[in-house]
Amino acid sequence: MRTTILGPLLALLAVIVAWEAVVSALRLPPQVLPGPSLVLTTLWMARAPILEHSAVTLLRTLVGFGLGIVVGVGLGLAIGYWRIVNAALSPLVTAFYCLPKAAVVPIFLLWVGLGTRPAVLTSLSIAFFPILVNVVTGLSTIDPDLADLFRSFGGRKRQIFWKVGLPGSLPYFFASLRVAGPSALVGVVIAEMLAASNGLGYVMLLAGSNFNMGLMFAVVLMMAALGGLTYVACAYADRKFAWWAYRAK
Amino acid sequence: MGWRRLSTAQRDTIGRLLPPLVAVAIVVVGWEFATQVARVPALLLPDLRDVASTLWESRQSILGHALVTLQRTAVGLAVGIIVGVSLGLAVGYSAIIYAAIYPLLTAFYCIPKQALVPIFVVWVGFGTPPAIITAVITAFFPVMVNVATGVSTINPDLADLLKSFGGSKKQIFLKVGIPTSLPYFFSSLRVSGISALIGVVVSEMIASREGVGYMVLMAGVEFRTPLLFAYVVTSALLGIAIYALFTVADRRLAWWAYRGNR
Repeated sequence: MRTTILGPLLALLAVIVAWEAVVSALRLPPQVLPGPSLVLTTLWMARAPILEHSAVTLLRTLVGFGLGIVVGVGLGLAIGYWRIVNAALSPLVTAFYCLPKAAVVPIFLLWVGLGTRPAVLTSLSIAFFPILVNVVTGLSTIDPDLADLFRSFGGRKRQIFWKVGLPGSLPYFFASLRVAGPSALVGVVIAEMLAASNGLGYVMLLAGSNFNMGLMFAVVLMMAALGGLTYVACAYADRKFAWWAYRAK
Repeated sequence: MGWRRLSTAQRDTIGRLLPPLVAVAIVVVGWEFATQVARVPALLLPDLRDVASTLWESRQSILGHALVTLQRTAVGLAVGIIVGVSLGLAVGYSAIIYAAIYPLLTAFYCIPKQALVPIFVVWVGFGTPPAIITAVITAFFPVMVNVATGVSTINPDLADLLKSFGGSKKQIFLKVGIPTSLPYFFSSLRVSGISALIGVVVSEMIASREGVGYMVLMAGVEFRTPLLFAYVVTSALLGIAIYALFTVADRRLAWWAYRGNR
């Protein structure tokens, strides 16, 4: 256990030291590549506004993610329950997956204006997909022995769905959250870069137009922290609520 | 012609094609209802016929911008595949490299890569270069993960067999690991292709004067809703083309991996 933490920490440290060494040895101007020290200083000096914008981004991500879960699970259950819905919707769902969601942001702008609402919509439209796919997969891979057992005791389709299919799909659902969480953040940040006056995406674009590399890297660090936070929270939920699915491994 | 007279194959085809067609028809009818009966303003939802006629009338410029986007995606994807395969093989081959960089790559996964576009603009300027770089960094990740997974999930019996005949670690890697990872590699291309397209479109929306991403944004800013929808349709068609291409490639080139499942 200790080596699994030590290795990456050493690698991370090596990257930071090498980065700082290269920057100071070559005397790179901060507009080209800011050293880690400059990034951390910027992060500390601008901590109040950065935290404020981070909170905005985090809130939008959580709302988009939450709605994504509702839509993904709802559609996933419908597709998994009715074969006809599956046949009708799966080509459309694939087509929707292929559509670069960023391209839809201008439509959202026309519909709901600037700021939080397009960000939440973009986030939702990206985050629901992995959840939908995994819920459908989970429902379709139910244990045939269990289903047969239910059927031989007179269980109906609906009962098998609720008592076998649904519990069986839970591990898939929780596993999909790890992908959906960071995707929700991606959606929010893209929408913020295009159409918001707050949030980390907005700060990123603003810092870019001022060639403020230190601030840009500080914002990226903050985004990585938010992304990591959602990922870790989802991985934790996965272990906490679907631990019984990993027992065999 | 009655349903009973049709052969099973014909019934299968109808059964497969009918439901999605009905779903599309429902969408079209709903759209028509919204624009014709409910009179949703054309600024918010254009008439479907307007979108279709815009697609046709502006086909030359749409095709030009689509080609620009497609080229950027193709170059970015190609470089991303090279980077992803190399990293994936390295991570899958050596336990030390795995332990050292895998957590870093997970951290990298958590960064919204599309947000790095402003940094790339400072580094490499406007237009094609940042689009390609964004495509590379969004595309390499799925390839890397799948190649690493494929290489490290080799059949232990096969590996033992080679070992018992005096095969070295390198030989096992080359003769078992790499063939095993091929199906994983091919199935990752679909995801990578779409990711590369998304990267290019985002970069074009932020820093380009051409390409589908730029045109989507411009049409939106100028409130030319039919053109906006035409370009959204175009971007979806690009995505579907990429997805279809790699699905076919997967079936053709890694068919032997599916043999047992079909």
